[in-house]
Amino acid sequence: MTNKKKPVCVSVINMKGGVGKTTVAMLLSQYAWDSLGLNVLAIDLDPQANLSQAFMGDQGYKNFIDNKSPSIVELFNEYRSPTQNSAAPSSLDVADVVSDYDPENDNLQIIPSRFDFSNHLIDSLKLNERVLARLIAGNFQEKDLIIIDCTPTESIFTRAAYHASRYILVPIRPEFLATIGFPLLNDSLADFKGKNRGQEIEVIGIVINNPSYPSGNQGGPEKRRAIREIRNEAKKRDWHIFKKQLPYSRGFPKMMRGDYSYPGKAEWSFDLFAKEFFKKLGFE
Amino acid sequence: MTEAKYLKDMLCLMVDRHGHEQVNRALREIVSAHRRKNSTKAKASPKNSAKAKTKKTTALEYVAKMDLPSEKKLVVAELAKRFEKKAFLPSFGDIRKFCRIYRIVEPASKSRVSALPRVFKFIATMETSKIQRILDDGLFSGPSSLGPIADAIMRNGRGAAYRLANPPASGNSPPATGS
Repeated sequence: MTNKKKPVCVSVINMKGGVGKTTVAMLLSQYAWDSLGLNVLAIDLDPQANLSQAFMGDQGYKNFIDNKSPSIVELFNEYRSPTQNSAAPSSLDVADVVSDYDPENDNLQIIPSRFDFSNHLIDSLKLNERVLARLIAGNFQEKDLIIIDCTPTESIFTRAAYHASRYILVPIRPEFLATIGFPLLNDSLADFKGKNRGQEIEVIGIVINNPSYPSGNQGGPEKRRAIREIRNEAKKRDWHIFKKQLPYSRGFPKMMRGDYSYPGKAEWSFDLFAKEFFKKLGFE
Repeated sequence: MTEAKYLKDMLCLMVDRHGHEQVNRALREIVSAHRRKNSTKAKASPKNSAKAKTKKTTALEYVAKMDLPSEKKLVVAELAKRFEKKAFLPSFGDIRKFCRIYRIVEPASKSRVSALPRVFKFIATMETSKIQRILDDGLFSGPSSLGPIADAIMRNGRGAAYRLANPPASGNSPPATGS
């Protein structure tokens, strides 16, 4: 499975929390790796570090924090702070920031985030928003796919993700407040494009993450209204909506916890969406 | 009263009540039924022993039989211990995931024990340092829990920085108030 223009970098963004960004980023990375055999890098740009926790598991993330291993924070700083083993700041080896999901091969890797990332954001005076793009350009050209899990609010990290990305994937929930993230993202993207006219960046599509139980009325009139609004807004901007939606399933939170017993329809329904997504991305 | 005397007394009672012939017939029937039961048991016993022979091997027993360098054997045995305690690949779903990741053919039977040979055969091919990472990071150990992450945040988060800057006063007793 190849794409002529590898690596392909996709940011998973919505200016609203709780729409399933991390779940989509995690499961797409895994699908690309174990079903399509792609060489994948996942980047956690969210200070909540949920993608890192899901990837590394409780013990792995605990070791990562306790060992003070370098993370996306050091990557933005572009150096390693003095530690017990070094008496002065030292240069950063990118290999130290990357963590392998599978001990047997390095075809699925993550650049993890730390929960104190937000402190870093507040305390730092001026971060370079192009650091991430530079890092990818210099170190990850052998990857097929790079997936970035973004913060739900606009910040320097969103702009860093834009600089590094060719495509934007937008998960959305058909609920009124969740749909407001939609025009905010459009505004943010338009602002970025205006300031970076040399860069090609586009929304590859919207995936509807359906929160409703499959009851008799399939979410009722409110959900139908929200979906109608999403379609209208997407049409205005010429944004594609993926045909395959993600239905409600208890399997999603289970898989994010690393519980693979009875994933139910979460597994096969996600695979259907993933197939559609990667076909559109050109991995055929 | 001895056992023999007790039996004799009981038999006397039976003979008095039912007559010598009837007690004798009943005893013969009991004895032949007992013999039949014993012979069935005897016939069944080879089967039982075969069953005993096919008793599933435990992960530790399986690893003990593997021909591995001693350092690697130690870490594989540790993993086998965890497998026994369901702290490594705790459910068949985890085994399915493990097999999918490493392109191992899934076992036909949906039991953990039946997957044991192919899982440990594969693990034995891994480098010792990589097996050690599975142990250290608790990979394939099933669902994550909040506890370890919460503890790590408590040890390393802002609370820890505050505790470092404001160490508690020595001793737990309240200050003396005088007499």
